[in-house]
Amino acid sequence: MPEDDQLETARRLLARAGITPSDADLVRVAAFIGQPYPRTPKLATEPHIARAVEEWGRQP
Amino acid sequence: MTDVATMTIAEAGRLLRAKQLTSRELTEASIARAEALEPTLNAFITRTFEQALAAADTADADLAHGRDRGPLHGIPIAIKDLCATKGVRTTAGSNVLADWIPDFDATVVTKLREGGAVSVGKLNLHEFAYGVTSANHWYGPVHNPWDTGRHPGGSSGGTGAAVASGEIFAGIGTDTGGSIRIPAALCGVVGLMPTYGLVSRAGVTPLSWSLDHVGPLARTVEDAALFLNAIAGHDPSDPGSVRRDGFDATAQLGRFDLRGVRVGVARSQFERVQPDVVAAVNAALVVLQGLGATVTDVAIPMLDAGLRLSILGPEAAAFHAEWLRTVPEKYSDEVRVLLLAGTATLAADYINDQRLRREFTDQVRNVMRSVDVIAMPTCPAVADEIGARSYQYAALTAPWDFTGQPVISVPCGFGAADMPVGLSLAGRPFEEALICRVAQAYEQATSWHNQHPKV
Repeated sequence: MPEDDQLETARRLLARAGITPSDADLVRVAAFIGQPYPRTPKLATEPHIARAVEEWGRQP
Repeated sequence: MTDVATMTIAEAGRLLRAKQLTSRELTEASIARAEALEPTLNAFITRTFEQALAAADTADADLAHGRDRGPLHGIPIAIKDLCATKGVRTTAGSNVLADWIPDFDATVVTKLREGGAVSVGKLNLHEFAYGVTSANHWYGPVHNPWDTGRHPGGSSGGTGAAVASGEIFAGIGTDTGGSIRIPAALCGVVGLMPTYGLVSRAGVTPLSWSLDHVGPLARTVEDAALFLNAIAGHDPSDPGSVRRDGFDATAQLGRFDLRGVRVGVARSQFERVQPDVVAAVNAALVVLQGLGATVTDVAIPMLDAGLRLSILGPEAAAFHAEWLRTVPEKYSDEVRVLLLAGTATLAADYINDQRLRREFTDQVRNVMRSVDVIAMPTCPAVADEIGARSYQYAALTAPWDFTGQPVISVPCGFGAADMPVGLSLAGRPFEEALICRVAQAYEQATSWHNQHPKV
């Protein structure tokens, strides 16, 4: 079951898109967005990814 | 009766031109087979048998008058119901579009019509192509002809089932995360996802603009290549369409000696695959070696790390935004929640994933300086039972939609429960001819393509 703050986050994000979900949908969407980002945690720790993001960050 | 269940497009074409067979005979046989099998398979949403017979008669008359429209002339095919068809209901597998009768054809449908192909109907799919089982909430699940208690994969599951069972010779699929290759692998047929932009998406209901591909499923590599040639080509109506003059997917067919071809094996992906599938794919790699190819393992760091990007979800949500607000009840719960989750994706996450996608594409490009083809299993497991949660099927296919390079899935044996297994061969952009050559060499060195479901 998602935490209350995840439910609130999901509710606000969907409200911004003009959508009022059912309670059941809200719970399931909150479960989705409650997953960590990036959804492949290993990816974020790969040195070459960190380096690539760093390089992008230097681009204008 | 003409045996449409085992004949290939190439064979039927020869018989048509030798006047040993007519398109009407082929089409009647296709219709008879569909009428016999549809109560079991449910591969079609809409059947257009009367129009098909009329088109077959036109095809026969054209041939009699020397008007040969090409390799698909007079051949019974069918179209995934994601593609708009003028005057024929186009549902996209959803209740949202249950009553939509377009007043135009998708470009790919126009090309098939101009090529003389005979469409016998519109094929079932996962709702809006957003799923991998084709267990359609609104039009009923598609059943796998190898075991009707199992799903055919998806989202182009109707196409996979109809081709494998011999209801049609070949059909249209679309691929955003694996939706051509997954049903091809799980139904034991060939699926060819072409290079991004090679086949127009105009008139095809989008799932994800930057990932969507249109391509064929067929019973042999040659048929898939012939079909792709018929539908490829630049189209100004599709902003992602590319111009590729002289494209010919059949250009290297018949060259079964693979000496000089370098096959890289994405070995890290095998860790995510069931042992029965690994065994079939390893055996296939030995065959490729025996044909002269050099086979070596390759590392693609981001793929090895389990690449997963949030691109499809938010792009799909963008297309569906208005309907999600106005007719949410017309989606199945499963697809609506996926679309809502896409709606809730942060823009920054989407943009960063597009940046990672570019990095991944560069990694693959670098690897493909030292190999010509990348091989791996198409799916991590054989087809599951209908109703099982089968989301892992796209794990090995989705990365290639990110890079937009061509990939073919060719049958490479049978795994658990005697269900088909597919071998995935990815090539450099616009090198469809090479992957078709390698796939055909493998196909003709084995007998998997001669085995057909006993449905």
